[in-house]
Amino acid sequence: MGYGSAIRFLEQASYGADPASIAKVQAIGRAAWLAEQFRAPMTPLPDALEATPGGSQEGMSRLQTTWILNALNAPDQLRHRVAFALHSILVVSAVDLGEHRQYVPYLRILHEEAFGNYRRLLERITLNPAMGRYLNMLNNAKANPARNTVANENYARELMQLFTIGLVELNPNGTPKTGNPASYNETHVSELAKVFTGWTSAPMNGAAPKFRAPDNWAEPMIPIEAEHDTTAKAILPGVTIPAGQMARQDLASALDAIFNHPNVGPFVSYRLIQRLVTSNPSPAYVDRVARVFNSNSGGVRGDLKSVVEAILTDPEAGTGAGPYSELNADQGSLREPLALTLNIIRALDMRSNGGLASTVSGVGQNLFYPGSVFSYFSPFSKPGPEFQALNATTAMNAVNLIYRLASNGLGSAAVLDLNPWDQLATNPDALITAAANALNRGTVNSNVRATILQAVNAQTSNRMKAITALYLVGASPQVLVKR
Amino acid sequence: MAISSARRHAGLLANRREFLRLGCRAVTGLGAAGALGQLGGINALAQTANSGYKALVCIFLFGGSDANDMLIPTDDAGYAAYAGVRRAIAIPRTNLLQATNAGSSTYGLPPSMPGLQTLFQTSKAAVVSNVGMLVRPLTRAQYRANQQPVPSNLFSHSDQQQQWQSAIPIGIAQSGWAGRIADQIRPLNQPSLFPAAVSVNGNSLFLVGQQTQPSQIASPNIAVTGQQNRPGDLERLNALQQILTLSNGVTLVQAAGSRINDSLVVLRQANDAFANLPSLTTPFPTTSIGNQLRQIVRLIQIRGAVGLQRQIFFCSQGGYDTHEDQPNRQPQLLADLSAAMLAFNLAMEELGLSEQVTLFTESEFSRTFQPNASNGTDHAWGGHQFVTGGAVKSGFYGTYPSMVLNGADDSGSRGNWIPSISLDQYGATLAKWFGVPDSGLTTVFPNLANFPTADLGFFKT
Repeated sequence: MGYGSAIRFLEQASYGADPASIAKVQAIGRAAWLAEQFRAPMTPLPDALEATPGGSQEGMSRLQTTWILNALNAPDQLRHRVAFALHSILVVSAVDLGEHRQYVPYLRILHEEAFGNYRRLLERITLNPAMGRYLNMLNNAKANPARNTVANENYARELMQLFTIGLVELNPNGTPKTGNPASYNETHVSELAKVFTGWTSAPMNGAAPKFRAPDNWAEPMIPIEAEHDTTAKAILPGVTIPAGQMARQDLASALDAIFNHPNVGPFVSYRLIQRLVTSNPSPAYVDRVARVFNSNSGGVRGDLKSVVEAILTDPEAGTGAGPYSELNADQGSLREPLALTLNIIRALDMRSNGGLASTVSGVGQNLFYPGSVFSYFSPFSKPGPEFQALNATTAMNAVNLIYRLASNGLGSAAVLDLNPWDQLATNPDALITAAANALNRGTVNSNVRATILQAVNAQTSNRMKAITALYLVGASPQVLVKR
Repeated sequence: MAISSARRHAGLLANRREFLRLGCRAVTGLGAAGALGQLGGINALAQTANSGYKALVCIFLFGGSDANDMLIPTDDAGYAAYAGVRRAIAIPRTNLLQATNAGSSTYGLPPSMPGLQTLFQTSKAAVVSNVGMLVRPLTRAQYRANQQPVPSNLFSHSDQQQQWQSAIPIGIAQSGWAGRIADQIRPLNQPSLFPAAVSVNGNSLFLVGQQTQPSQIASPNIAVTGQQNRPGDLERLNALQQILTLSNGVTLVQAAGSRINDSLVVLRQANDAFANLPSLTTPFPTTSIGNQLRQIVRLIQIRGAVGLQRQIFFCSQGGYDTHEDQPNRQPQLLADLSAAMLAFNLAMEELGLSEQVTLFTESEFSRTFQPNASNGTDHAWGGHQFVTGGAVKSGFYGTYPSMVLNGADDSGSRGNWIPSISLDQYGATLAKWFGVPDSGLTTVFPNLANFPTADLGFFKT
């Protein structure tokens, strides 16, 4: 495989192309690299520290730092990439769940199920207490006429709208059906809400199970049947769950029906393609991946490993010959701030202590703190999801981030050995070529090269020449957009 | 990144030249239609009384703020209807802050909003009751029989946020209603190239025009790193801007390059202006919404330096999606909101701009009148919005919902109020005050003609 193709693939399938991984992909090819990644053991996520004597719980910063360090260095790169893509769909935000002990069990599910089955992932995420708190399934009780309350609708609504089906019926290629027919109506939401009643925290220290039990973030929620609504529930057009089922039966019935809705394949495929490869995939690309979601080579629905493989080996990901050896002019994606930062650090083989969360946040992505249930970026934002976070402030911060990376301005969060670059600076042409090799798949547009050369020649020290070349290549829009 | 004043001055001149050069490119991109439209617009605008500066400031309450707990009946019958449904989460009657009335019905604010009460007491606040997204006027019977078009994807956060910001209730909107207002008033801002529409908290469809683009300026000092007036620094900066604008035919690359370059240009001009910012003595709360409104004050203070007669701002406050524990969550948000709104109005008085600047709220929907099992409320529809400023004719506008579950105002069974006033009417009243000619109002609000009046009357003139 060519050098540029190897880098493109690694930017889709990992947190970036460092010299070692480029050599490896070039040597063994995509298929073998993927097979190795699917087998790679999961890098463990750290347990929370004990609460301080005053009772205050550990917050999120060590988890952010550790996760970034792992994303930079851990062997299970693809798992990190897919887990984060799943986090961007099945959102829990530390805005509401800002303790390590609350967040890490949720994150572990995403890492553990990254190559698993979407049905199982849905069930584990549904019963995760952080999700239960975030979308209010935790301690959701059946209707109570004396208090004039009904079941909380939040999880029911977002499970269907954001995690699985979406508001509009889709064709198998992910485009809306003619006339945008609604997938379900308000009554279905209220009825589905009744399924998610009766669930509470698992008992701890041998306590008897009870509704509104003390929070237990480490274990899945458990049902208390007395608080579960046992009436019949018409949860989707043509789908009614019979009266009299227990909470776990209702949950299985509902998740089976939702998981088997024909929208789910194209819905999930579209979003995963956006997160891994390109912002505006063609309907044909979505169709090819959704078919794999609907049924992999073994006839299994929802197998994420097969789906990820289909996404990353599709001709439209730039893996094919002829017209597909490059992405077409409408494809690619603006690098999300996390990927932009980590891609450059890996490309330049920099050392990092992982303390990059606040820097990345300034560029528009606060790791594990997405602003709403719509995650970091809306899948519908144009010209691409990541543009939603690109504004004057974050754009300036992005450009400044690249200057700091190129000039060792981030302390031990990102350390670049500039000595070899200083030596290259005696030959500005070679310097720019080397910067483009590291940061832009070895290519640099001739106009861009001429412009950079002029700026490099205006510098009065080799160090500033090196910094200028790395900065201007790194901040060029050709690099800011991954393609 | 301290820069000595002599050096700063040298850089400033270079920046100005740069701004003019690059800014002209941005405007020629509007095309002939935009330029001709401008010329036509000058005459229409000249005929309206539009001398002097004006600004509109939107606070968007993300998550869907529960309006039922933002304006509460305080008379016997009204409070009984409220408490009879709200039960455990009802705000005690004795805690309510008297604000306004409609005939014999009286209304109070929650105890968390003393600042807003002050604005009502000083005749600087109005409330517009049960306003929301509609395609045309709608009754419960029509809604339940699917006899009238209704906004698509009601009760969905993302869709309703887009609709409140765009005034486009069906289909995918490419521009926002404030952006289209900015298009309309462009002649008043000539020849300034500084964006009239600015967000201080992230991107929003609200400010995107068909001909004009907004910017986002969240902080008073954000500048390009590495510019220390060393030899070669300016060459590096110029090279960066050239690279950002070089064409290579790739859609996303072009989009990213031009957006970043436009940002650098605008921020460099803003920073020059911020360097000479007049003082302000009015204290602001150091909350998120307080800081955002404080930044908007700065952007208003540089109006002369950047040459603008009309400005539109967007700021926001999140967290209103109170599905759970509403009695504890919403009051903190409303307290921050109320305090920041009062500070902003006081700052406008300090600057002598009270009658020229109007601050108003939006939120994607209100919440169910009937609570849920988690001491919270779920997604609903019509709600109350507040308008404040010295130009506002203080009082109550519209019709308070009947507060009967399954009643005439309920689209469902839980008190999902069908709006009795459309966003189009609410926005058009603001737009007209701002100086949009009547002929432009239907461009800004395409469905405006479906409703009986385009002016709800909440301004003095």
